[in-house]
This record gives sequence, C-alpha cells and structure tokens, in this order.
Amino acid sequence: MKQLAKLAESTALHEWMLSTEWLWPWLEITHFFGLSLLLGALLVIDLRMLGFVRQINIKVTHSLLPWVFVGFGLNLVTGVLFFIGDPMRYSINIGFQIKMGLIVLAGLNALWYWWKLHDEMDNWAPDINPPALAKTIAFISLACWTGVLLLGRLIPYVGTG
Amino acid sequence: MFEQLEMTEIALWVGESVWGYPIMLSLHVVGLAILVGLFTMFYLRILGAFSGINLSAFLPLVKFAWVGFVINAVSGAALFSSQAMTFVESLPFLIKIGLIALGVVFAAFIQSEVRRYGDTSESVSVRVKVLAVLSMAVWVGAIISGRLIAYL
Repeated sequence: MKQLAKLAESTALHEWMLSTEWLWPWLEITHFFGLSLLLGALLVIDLRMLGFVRQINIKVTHSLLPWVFVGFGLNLVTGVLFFIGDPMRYSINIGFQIKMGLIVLAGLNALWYWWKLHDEMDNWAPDINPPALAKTIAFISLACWTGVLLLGRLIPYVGTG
Repeated sequence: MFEQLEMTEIALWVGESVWGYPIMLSLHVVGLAILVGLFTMFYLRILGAFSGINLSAFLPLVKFAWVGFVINAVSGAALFSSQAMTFVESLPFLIKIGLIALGVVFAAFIQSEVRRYGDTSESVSVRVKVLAVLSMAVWVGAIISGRLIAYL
C-alpha cells in the first residue's frame, strides 16, 4: 500500500488533482451521485431477493444491474482520483482500509450469488419467496454497502491503521 | 433562537463530543443514498427504463425512500443544531433546503398520480414525466449545494 501511495504521488494526475481548483468538490459530488445510483438500484434487487415487494418479478429486477455498474464505475474513477490526489492520507487511514475490504467482500458475495443462484433463478416463479441462501446473500450485500457508505464518510475522522 | 438551539443538549453532543458529528454525517450519507437512489430508480422507471417492472409495483419501494428521508431529516436536524447560526447564513445551505422542499412536493405529487393509475400503468402522462426529470435535477442540485456548504 505504501509503495502504491508513493507511485501515485509521482504521477502527473497527482499534480493535476492538486493544482486544479474546484476539482475536488466536483469529484465529491459525483461520488455522492454514484453511490446513490449504486445503492438505489441495489436496494431494488436486494429487497426483492430478501422477499419484499413480491409483486415485482424477481428475474426482472436484474434489469437494474446496469445502474449498479454505472454507479460503481463513477465511484471507481472518482475514488481512484481521490487516492491519487492524496495517497499518503488514504493509504494509512483505517477507515479507508476497512472500506476497501468491504468492497472486496461485496464483490466476493456477488460472485457467490453468481456461482450458487444465478442459473437456478431461471426456474423460480416470478413471485417466489426466495430461499434462505438468496436472503443471506442479499443481506450481506446490503450490509457491506451500508458499511462502505458509513466508513467512507468517517475517513476524515478516524486515525491511521 | 438559533443561538439557543446551539445550546441544547443534542446540539452540544453533536458539536462537541468526539463521535457525534461524524456519526450524524455518516448516517446522512446512508439516508441520502436510500432517498436519492430509490427516487432516481422510480423516476427512471417513469421515463421508460426497466419496463418489465410494473409502475405500481414500485410504490412500496417509494415508501422505503421516505425512510431515507426521515433518516436525513433527523441526522440533518442534529447537524444543523450544532452550528445553527453558521448554517442559516450559508447560501448553499439555504438553496439546499429550498431544493429539498421542492423535491418533496414533486415526489408527493408524482406518487399520488402513479397511485391513481393503479395497475393499468402504461400511459404515464407527459406532465408526470416532465416532473420526474425535474425531480432528478432537484435531487442532484440538493447534493451539489449540500457538498458546497463545506466550500463556500
């Protein structure tokens, strides 16, 4: 992580992040908008997977997935720029480190869904009350992303890891 | 009045304890994501996205968006109380509150229109579609002005 931070500091992007006025707040605003898209779309998918709003066909909720990826993409780009702009601050920050861990966990959880449930879902009734495994995965997903949001905002207030 | 508000117990806890302010800020992000996220999905659906989902089926989710609103009204009030005198003189803050009021009125109106459609939902009126676009702009504006409170 330390080497990554050093590398980031030597880039032209780092200079650009520091020297461009008003860039930081606009990237933050984009980051907020991105997280709203990500969580908003995910809430529809995961709440249905938890067994709520059964009037929605569970298979159709996946048409919201592109919005999850749009939100994630926006935040990946803006997030990488934050890191490049102030790498020494983020790399040693415990809030940032746990946040990154939770994002990885959320990714593994999504893979778990893909591996165990994705194909099986074709056989589900549209108004199914999903099995326990589906509910578990949906719960972990929402818990991880809520944690990501909370920790992201705590970064300026917590110490070094 | 705002001076007295800053002296209340909750204001002092938020303003002076180690974790009061950060906890409220963090909750404010979660509420924002629920509120803006779910409303945005609802409005995208009104505009014709993911049309496999019945418009009326979205209504329970919109109810959940109001949960986000309550989280942010409470955490926002707590944040406000800690620095009330500064906030009331902040232009971006005042703009943000105005935009939120507008967003709430639009949301209530759109929600009642969609409820009126019932299950025969496929012909959303142009008026509601225009309001959906405006509403999305209003919430993005609220995010922008909210973030600029810290900079202006």
